[in-house]
Amino acid sequence: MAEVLPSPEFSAVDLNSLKREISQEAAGLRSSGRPLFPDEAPNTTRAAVAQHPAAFQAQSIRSMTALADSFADPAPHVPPMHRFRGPFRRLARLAARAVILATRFMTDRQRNFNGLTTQTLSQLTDSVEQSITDLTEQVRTLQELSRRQAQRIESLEETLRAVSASDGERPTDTSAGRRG
Amino acid sequence: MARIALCTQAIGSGDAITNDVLAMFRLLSTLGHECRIFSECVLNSETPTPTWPIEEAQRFLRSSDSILILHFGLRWDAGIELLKTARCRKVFRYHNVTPPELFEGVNSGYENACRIGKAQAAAAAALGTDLFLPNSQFSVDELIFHGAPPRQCHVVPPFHQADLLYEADADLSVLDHLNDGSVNLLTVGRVSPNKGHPLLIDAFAAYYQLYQPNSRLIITGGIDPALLAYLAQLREQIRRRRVISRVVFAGKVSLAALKAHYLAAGVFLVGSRHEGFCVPLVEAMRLRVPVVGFGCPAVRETLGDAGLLWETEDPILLAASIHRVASDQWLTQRLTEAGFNRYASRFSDNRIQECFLESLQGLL
Repeated sequence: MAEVLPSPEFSAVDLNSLKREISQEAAGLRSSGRPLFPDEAPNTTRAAVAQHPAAFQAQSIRSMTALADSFADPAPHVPPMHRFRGPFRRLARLAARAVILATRFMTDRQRNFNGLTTQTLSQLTDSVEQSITDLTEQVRTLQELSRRQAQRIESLEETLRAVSASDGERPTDTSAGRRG
Repeated sequence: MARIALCTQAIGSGDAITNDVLAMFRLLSTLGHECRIFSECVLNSETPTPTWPIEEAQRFLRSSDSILILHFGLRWDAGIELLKTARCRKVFRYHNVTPPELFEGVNSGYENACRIGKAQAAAAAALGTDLFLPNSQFSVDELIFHGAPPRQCHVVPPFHQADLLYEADADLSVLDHLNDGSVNLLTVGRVSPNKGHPLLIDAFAAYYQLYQPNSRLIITGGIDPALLAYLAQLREQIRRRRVISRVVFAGKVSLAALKAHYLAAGVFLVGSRHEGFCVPLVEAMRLRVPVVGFGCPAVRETLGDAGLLWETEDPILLAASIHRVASDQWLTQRLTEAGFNRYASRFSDNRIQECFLESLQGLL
């Protein structure tokens, strides 16, 4: 790997004076009486957006589901039993295998339930994420259509204005009709 | 050539101690030493290097000129026993132990393990160890306080994956998702009480309310099933602050996704109440992301003047700092250049290798 070299010197930041300025700003914010956190603010659009369940957190859910999945099987494999040596280790591993087989037999239904639950969660996450992607795409398409319509109306208005001007009349305010 | 045993309690992938052990193994093996990694448990099968059970370390270290490098970061009875009984030259690599009180009310098992770990580290400091390799001056001071001879203590920053991360390709789908016009604030580290997430969530909520509604806090790092109570507290805080849709728990991510998180980040946040070193800061400096946060001693030591650190846990102050850095390109450029220069002069792979080999000079 190539050696990393320092880049040419930049003028350093005066951290002390910067901190003084920031401290003053923070003190000003505190004394301003403004709400400092979203939960102190009245129910505004901003607060509603931050709370909105539509902001689906696929990444968080996936990491938690993966974590749950790693614990879905109560007895996944025989431990290496490093504490024992030679024939004792072989015996210890045999005993561990027997215990694990018994455990797997007893926890069979629970293991199936765990596995199915985590798989269902994963599928649910996939499908919700896909729906969000589709909906976002549809919103984008609608926005694009709306933008084109607005452009078309604007160009029609310009044409109308130009026609009115060439007739020597006062331009017609067509936007008033739309507002209404 | 020496026979060297690198011992660690657990070996997995992605954690700071494992990265340190693996890098030491590669370096010492390249130099022709006979190296082996010994561990009490292997957390997953992704580790590229074979590991040996810790019980076999004693046999491997039978000659008096062999070297034991013991990595210590939490209660480890077998490790301390090995340090006491091995008849070879011994190196105590101290990664620091989290103060137990930070786990109070969250997990009594961890609380206990940290309490005993602190006592074991103190006992190790008083043992006749040939060399102490703490990861920071903060850790040196702790060992000296417990009786380690100052002349035998050498600070060696932990080996890390910042260069690997820099060269990795970013996950483009993650990057596209995050680059949606929002200001992304990033914090990296396992979801654990010492990382100070409550402060960061409050700081983000204040930033969101006072300055930038189009913003997002990304919390990247492994979620420990034993600390789900802590995660539940954080979720409750996020719900109470009404920023549910703006805070993302990304969990433990791939190198490519981590690279995407750093590339998309406008500001890197640190709120740790305790660290032995703080490797994510090195990654942020390497990838030129400006750092803002609360500076516990080891964080201040790692970052120096290359970021905006405060000594009080004040969310409004942090929010104002985030706004200042995120909205001032000149300031961002100065801070990231200072960070990169600090990285290059102190924490690059070559610098750490030099530092490590220099410290071992008397033993090799």
